[in-house]
Amino acid sequence: MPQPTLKQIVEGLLFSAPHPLSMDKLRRLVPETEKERVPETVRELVAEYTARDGGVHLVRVAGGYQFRTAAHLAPWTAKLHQAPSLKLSKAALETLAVIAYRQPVIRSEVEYLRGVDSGGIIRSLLDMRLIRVAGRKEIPGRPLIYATTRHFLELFGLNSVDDLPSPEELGALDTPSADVPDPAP
Amino acid sequence: MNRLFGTRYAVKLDVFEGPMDLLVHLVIKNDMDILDIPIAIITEQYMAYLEMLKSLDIEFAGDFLLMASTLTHIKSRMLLPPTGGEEDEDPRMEIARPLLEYLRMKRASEWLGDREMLGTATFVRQEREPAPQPPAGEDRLVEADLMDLVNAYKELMAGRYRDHAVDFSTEKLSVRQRIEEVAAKLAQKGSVLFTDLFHPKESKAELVVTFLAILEMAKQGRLRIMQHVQSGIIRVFAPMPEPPAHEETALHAPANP
Repeated sequence: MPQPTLKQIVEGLLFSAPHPLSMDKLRRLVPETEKERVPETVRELVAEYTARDGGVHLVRVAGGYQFRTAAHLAPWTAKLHQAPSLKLSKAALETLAVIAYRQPVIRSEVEYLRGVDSGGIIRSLLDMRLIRVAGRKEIPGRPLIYATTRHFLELFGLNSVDDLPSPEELGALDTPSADVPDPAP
Repeated sequence: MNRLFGTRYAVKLDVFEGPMDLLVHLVIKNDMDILDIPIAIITEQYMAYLEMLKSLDIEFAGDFLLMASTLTHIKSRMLLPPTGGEEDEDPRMEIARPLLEYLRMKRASEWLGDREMLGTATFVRQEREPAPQPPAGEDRLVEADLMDLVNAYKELMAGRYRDHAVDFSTEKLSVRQRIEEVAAKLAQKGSVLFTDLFHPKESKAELVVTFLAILEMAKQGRLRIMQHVQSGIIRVFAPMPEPPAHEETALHAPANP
């Protein structure tokens, strides 16, 4: 058997891992002498898969790398993976967005921003492991502090919360969103 | 939240998530600049909407009323002449700032909603289901029978036959003494591998003595010889403690009527 190349090793590791593998994790898994070449090898693989434009992509997510199927294959891949897909309501997405941008954040701040009671939605986001309790704020009542989870990053395909669009990118006020419902009864 | 009022039903319509949602709608509908909202117009429209909800018996949260009072408050402050003091900021900023922030968050939530979500649009390899566990029966111990013991004994002997050393020691080997040694081991550890009871350097004669000791102890009920179903490994256990006398009655005691 010929000695495997580092690229083969890294590709095999990424292929067989159930969760995104970080550079650190990969460095620990490859032969000691090859450790330093891990980042460039991962980048090469990403470039290869991007260039190939096949059914799987090597994406950077939640601080690591992971093979994921191309999104436009969903009509077929979804048939194989029968798990009910997570459908978040508008209110849930809004609450999640507030927490993602303002974390660490307490409930009253979320409610101030949204202008509505958000306790129920926060609880269901906790149940879905999209947010977590990150402690208590040392103010009267010691309210719980919320932050987003690694699962949130994995689910939304984000490498970190820095991947969220900046306030400036969101602030283009001349193009207001058009999906506000008409109040006509 | 639906409550019965006499014969009429109050309907809760989730048209707007909250007052901010409604305000955003009004701003967009009227093509207003958030930083320069005609406060009189928007207050009027806001109130009109709440009146409409009321007339339709549609319940709305208290948050809507709070916003109504904020709007009226801003409107009244707009009528006051500027004092020239620190608080001379445009009173409308009280509503403009949260609105801007709300709009940003709304956009962010739309951006999130448009993501190619894992499990919906994109998928990762599914983990194989764990290999089936051996049937429960395989992973238990049964009493080793004589044939198993003899086989284990033969294996031990076979390992020593090559040893042609002649033992000139005059030490008397006593089964009784060996029984006490085995008993001490069992008392200490609870159970021992059958093969571990035999010292690797032991002579054939010593091996025979140990084997006899084990057989004698089994006969007296001073140990139990068990074999693992799957691996066939034989293990020797200290005897089971006497079951408490009341256990039988407890098991068969009738349940409370």
